[in-house]
Amino acid sequence: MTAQPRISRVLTRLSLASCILLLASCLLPPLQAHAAPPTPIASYTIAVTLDAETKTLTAHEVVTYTNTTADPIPDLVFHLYLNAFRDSSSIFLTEGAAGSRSFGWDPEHPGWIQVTDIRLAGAGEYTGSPLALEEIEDGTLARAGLPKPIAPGESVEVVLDFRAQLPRVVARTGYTDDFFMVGQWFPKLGVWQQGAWNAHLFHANAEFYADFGTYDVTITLPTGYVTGGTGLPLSKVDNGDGTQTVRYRAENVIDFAWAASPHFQEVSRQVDGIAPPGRGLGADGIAPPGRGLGAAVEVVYLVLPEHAWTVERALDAAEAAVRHFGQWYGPYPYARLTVVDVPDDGQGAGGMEYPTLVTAGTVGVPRLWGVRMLEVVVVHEVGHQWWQSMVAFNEAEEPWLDEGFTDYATVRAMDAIYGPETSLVQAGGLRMGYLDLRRAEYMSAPRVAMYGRAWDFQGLEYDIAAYSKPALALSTLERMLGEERMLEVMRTFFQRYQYAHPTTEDFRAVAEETCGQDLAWFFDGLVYGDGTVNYTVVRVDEHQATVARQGAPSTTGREAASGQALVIPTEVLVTFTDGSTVLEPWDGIQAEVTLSYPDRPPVRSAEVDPQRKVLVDLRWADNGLSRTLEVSPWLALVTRLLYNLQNALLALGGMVAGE
Amino acid sequence: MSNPGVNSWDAFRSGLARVVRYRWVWLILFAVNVASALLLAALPALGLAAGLGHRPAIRQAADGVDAWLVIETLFSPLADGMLGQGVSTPTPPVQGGAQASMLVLATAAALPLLAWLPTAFVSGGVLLTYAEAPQRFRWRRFWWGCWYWFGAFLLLGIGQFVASLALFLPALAAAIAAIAAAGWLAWIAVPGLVLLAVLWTALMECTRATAIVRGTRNIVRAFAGAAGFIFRHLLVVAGLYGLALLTLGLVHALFRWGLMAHLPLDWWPLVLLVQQAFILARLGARLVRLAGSVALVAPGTGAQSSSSAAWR
Repeated sequence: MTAQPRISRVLTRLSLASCILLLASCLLPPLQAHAAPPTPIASYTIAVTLDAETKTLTAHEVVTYTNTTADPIPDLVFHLYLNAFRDSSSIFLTEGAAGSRSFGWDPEHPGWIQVTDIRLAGAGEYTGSPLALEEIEDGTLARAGLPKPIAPGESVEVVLDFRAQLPRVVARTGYTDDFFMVGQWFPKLGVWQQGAWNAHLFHANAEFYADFGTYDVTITLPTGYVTGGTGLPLSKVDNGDGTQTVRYRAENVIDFAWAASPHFQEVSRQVDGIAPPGRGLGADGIAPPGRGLGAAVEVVYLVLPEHAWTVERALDAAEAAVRHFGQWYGPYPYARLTVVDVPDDGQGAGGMEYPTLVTAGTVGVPRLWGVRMLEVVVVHEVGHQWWQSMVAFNEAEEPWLDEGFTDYATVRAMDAIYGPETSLVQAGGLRMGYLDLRRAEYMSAPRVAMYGRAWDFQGLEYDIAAYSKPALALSTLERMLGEERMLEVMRTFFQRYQYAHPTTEDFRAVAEETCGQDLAWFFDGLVYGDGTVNYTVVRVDEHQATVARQGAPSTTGREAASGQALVIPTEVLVTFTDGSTVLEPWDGIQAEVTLSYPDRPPVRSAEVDPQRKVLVDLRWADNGLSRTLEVSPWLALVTRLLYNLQNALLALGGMVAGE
Repeated sequence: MSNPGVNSWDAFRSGLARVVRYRWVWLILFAVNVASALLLAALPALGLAAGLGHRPAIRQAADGVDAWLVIETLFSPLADGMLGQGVSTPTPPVQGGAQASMLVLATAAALPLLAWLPTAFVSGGVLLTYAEAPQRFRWRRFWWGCWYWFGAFLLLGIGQFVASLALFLPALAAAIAAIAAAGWLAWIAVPGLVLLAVLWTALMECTRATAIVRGTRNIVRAFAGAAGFIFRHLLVVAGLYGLALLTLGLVHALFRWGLMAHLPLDWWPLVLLVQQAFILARLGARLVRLAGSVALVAPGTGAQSSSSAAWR
């Protein structure tokens, strides 16, 4: 999800059998596929009917849960997210009173979900046994005790009937008029790990966490509605009674969302298969089963007529994102990617990611100006296909991972597509990169650690912890390690944890292993710590330069990081009057260092981090110091200032005086 | 009072001839523009020298990559506070945080005043000179015209500013609302706004020209006279403004896309030269329009202004 605005283990085994599977997949209609199919843990078959008048859902759900852990599991815990919008006392609405996502919650049009029946199925002697479902606190979680624990390796099938009232669009989900964005809408299991259910009440900043599985969803709704959903549409039947039924199926995904509107126009584009260079096949040369590497992806855009102008821009951005992320991290393994446009009065549904389906947004996006917020949102949400939908972080407990990785990927992609200096704004003489925006946001409140649970952060802190600082920190790491090495880190991490739930420490292990370095400065300093840093040159004499590291020490983090200064290794460039230069490495450990050059010509200037690698540096402007006034650039700037003032005087003079 | 014999092209040519003939007027206005800009630029330029003059970062800013510098300047007060914690070594000032913000605010506040007062002052002399063409340029007469209409044009400027806000803010809001409701309305709303702006500019400029030609300082009467004139000769006025706007467009195209786009920003003497040539050309294009307006509303090209009797 974006702040307004918030990738594959490629291939593993090769065998004759997989080649046959590959061939078969070309001949048969492909469903969903993956490089290394995980064991489905939580799979859902849902038949849902939408009453477009009352905005309600009536559904029958079958959940198949397989215990892949070593623990016996005594109960089941379901998320009932829609109850966050039942009344104003929910944790979500209490915490998020001032948050953008909860803005617009309308007590006259609340949302809720009610499970009317829940039973066991396919459980031998307990088949058909009703279960008691007990709501927890504000009702966004519910626990169902089981007559006997689910043994390791055993599967259980639970059948539920439920009704849900969709709210007017709030926090990603709901309706406006005849537009429906149906997300977080069904009873959904938490994740069993470390001997307990990892399932949190629905908090304002928190997003979602779920196991991989297969979804088979049948939606009945009025005829004339155009739909988009997670996975592939398999069938569409006119029921002859004013309704139609569409069926979607998705494999190896963590969620299912769908959208519907009679006004959607469907435009699509075929994107050729993408594979990272030299990574067409797995380490042992095995092609992925299901669909071969390099299979095409159909990018579908469901656009509302009033936003027809966004078609080319949104499709261009989505296509470029799929290409870049596919090359950088691993191929997109699904056959389809759906981008959903949202109406102007339903922007709370925009800028959200679901597996194989994302929502865009257009409000506040100047159409005639060269402002690329639409593209940023599309690229960011597509990025989540890699960093959330395939590498499924715990968004509630470690939001910096999914949003931060995605935003870092967004920076890279936007820079690659539109240029680093113009990736956000290119209008006349105005230019601004997306990274500039993130740096501006970070600088507004930099004393925030990236690591933390979603509900640990308030307001802007969350945006900085989850988006801005990770984007800057990961970009800094990339500049330190070099682009190729960083790509290797990210690609290795993606491949190792595709279809899994990695943590911050998993990333640390992969990063340090891949680059062969201790990255304490990154993890202890930037991830767990809230310290700040500013590198500066404080003095330049004839044969000496004194550089300093400033900033506030961390107040958070692990034992090793708390109370410590933020130290990032860097370099110092010293330029002498004869034009020669020396580039000195500086570990930054000492707060102040004096470099002496008694045998060289006089020093002209010294500059710390001359290549601007440290993006979290609070002030680049003081990174260098010259012994003499920089006359020529100063005059160039003054000339430009004078010219702009002259033009402004002419323009204003014309308005009020008319010379 | 009108001069129905003059058509748009004749007025434009007459305006051009007067601007070329009275080069002093052109240069005076250019000097006023440069002096005002220098006055405004002085403090920021000194602040820039004090804050960034010894910082190599200024080289990057001079090359035009300056979004980061704007961001750092904006957040400088916050960063100052942040760096105050745990700092052992004082550092030479960079942008000076709050000082930089104050400089920007002070410059922004002074800009409208410096745009308004000097031009309100010289307008009388400029238009009087054009109204009395082809007489030779006389400095005393020029300064007398400046002083004689200064108060009236000051008042007119205030009225124009207030009326502009009252007229354009609702018009702009309506246009934005219309475009938000239906994108295709932009094809109507944007040209509509442009036409309104041109008409409004023409009305205000003709008001000044009428005041000079009639020798009156009663701006209400001048405004009524100008409105009546434009109403009766709408096509002629539209033609003159169309030609003037076309000239201005050509000047912009030539300089902005043809010359300045290809100049390296760090060649500052050449850049300065081209920029000043552009300002001069832009000013010239505007003066042609003003002189053309005088030619339109004057009872006869080259006729003595009614105000001459008042001057000794």
